[in-house]
Amino acid sequence: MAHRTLELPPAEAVGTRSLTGSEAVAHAIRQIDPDVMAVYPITPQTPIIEMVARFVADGRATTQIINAESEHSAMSAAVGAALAGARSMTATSSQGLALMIEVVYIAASMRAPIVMAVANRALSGPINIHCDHSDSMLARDSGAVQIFAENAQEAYDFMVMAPRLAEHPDVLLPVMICQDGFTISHSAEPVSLLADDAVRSFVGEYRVPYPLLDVGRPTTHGPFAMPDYYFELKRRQGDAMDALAHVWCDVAGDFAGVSGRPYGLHEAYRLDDADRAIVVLGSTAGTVKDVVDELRCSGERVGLLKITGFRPFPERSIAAGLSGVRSVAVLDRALSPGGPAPLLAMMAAALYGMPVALRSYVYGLGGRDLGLDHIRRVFTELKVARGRSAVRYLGLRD
Amino acid sequence: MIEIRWHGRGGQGAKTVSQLWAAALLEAGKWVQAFPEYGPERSGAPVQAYNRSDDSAIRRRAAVTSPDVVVVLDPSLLAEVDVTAGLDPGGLLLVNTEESVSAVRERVGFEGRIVCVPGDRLAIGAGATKANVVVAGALAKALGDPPVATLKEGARIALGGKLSPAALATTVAAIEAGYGAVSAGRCVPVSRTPRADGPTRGLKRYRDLAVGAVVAAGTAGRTRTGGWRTGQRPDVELRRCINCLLCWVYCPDSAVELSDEVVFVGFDYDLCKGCALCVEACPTGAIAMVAESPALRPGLAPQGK
Repeated sequence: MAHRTLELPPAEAVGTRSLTGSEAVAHAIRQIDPDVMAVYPITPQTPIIEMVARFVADGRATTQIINAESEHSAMSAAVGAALAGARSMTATSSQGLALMIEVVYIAASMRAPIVMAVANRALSGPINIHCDHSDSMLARDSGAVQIFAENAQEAYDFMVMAPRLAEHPDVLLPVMICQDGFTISHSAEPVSLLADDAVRSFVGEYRVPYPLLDVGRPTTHGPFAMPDYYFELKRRQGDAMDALAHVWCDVAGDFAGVSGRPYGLHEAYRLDDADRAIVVLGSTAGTVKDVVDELRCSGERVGLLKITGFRPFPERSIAAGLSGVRSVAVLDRALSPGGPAPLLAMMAAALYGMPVALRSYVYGLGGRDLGLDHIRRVFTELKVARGRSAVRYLGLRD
Repeated sequence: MIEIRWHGRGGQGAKTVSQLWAAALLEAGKWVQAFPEYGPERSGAPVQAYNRSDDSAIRRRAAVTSPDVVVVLDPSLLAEVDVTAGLDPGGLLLVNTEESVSAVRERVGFEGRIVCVPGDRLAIGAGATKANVVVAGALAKALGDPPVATLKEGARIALGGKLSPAALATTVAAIEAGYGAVSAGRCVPVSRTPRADGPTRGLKRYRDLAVGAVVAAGTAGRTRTGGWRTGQRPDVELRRCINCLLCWVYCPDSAVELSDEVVFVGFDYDLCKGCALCVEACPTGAIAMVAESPALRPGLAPQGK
């Protein structure tokens, strides 16, 4: 769908400003100016849609905001809009994602490229508003792409990249841009915004392969699939997720050209000669970097592998990045009661057959803080790690 | 192990009779399985049900792809479903039909043993509403197992809790009618050699599927759902038709035919599944459901139509 032209007020001042993660993402949405944003408010996502709504009310974006009666309806509206040919977005957290989840699976199977701004928050119960990754883990197998941001800058940058990732003809999947609730979404820090026209020309136009409203070329969407075709269709969806790794290289390469900020699906931080490493998602990676620098000053060979792409999971490059490491600690901000925590399970698969000790730590559930001391302790414990060990809980009162 | 595939239409009791059959064989000391396979869940749509029986515990949960016996509860299915798929020439095909064995053989091209039973007529004669139990009686005779008394006990076990005593007596009478209508035979388990191309024949590879499972619109006309009608079809009194075309709008199967001038002309009975939505949609009462005419039901028309 072609973007409507609009006389915009003077463009936002380009350059570095103090913004929360929510505000940074809202600016990205304003600059992208999607056709449709279907939402239902929920903490800690609410500031995103509030700010987007203000931009629209002020005439600084032309997005049609659909205030749905629930997240299930919001996601459903986004699916219809995306398949009709509208660039479509939503934003959610926690219970909202849980209520959406049925439709997230459907969006992925119908290949609706919906960009989802997610502010991660613990799932009930007990009810809690603070950060952990249990909501994203609920969507782990949905077929939606999941990209985790370390800070507000990454949240903004990934949001700008998201439409091109989602809408690439080889992908056409929902893309979740995840930022830690409150820790990022409500924390102000320096964010460098691109110029509005730079974002607009970077994202380009959305071309839907089978427009729902093209009466000259009518199509059936969402048909029943029996055992004779369901399996093939799910397998086809897997290809789309696999394709994202290549698409990421192109999109991230172009983005680096515009912004000067290159991104991989994972980030290796001081891993080159490391014998111990921590693997983690989201904002905690920044805290770990500080501890790595501190321990490096005292001669310890420690490093960090930050996971940016949780789905698709860059298994091979992660394994290559950790090939020289003797022991690895995987920090999960979610539980899988009765089984290994989600990131640990994937790391164990990624590192299968490699001579590396693997330690599992769970931290930060329901917004529990993870201090620098906890991370120092993890690196200390890694010195003596052998094989696999039972899960440990950081910051828990034993 | 004996494997049976029952072909019926939703509402004809294929699943029920498979459970009755299993109950009877359990009474006879066998290990049994009975399971249905659902497609579109609507009365009249083709459905399958299966039985396995053996002298030792049955553990396999795989599909029955090369049955010893195929039972067809509705003769119109012969034109709509590949009923003999996977059936070895050493097996048995039992069909509820008024047609002769040679006519059925010509329709399906099966060279093995075929038994025909006029199940609908016998069911009516016994006061029953469905032919499934008549056909079960005939099958017990044609296979030589289980004895008719055991099959009747199976009916009491499987249906006793659902049917009134009078209806159960009717069911038992229908079983006896079927048992008496065919000549005795034996079941010899066939050697099972599933076809290599079996269930994937003609289906697309995953790479060739359109993104998002999108398919072309307007495919309703390719699916002959006319066989789904169970006893009633819509008929129109053209004098009362105001050509509002609401029937055309509501028809889910493209069965309302329009002229080039976009004027209602009638129904395509190869496509009409008898849902009666058009009757509900018609504002003038021009459309009504009337008793089925066999000549208009796909698969029941005389051969060579």
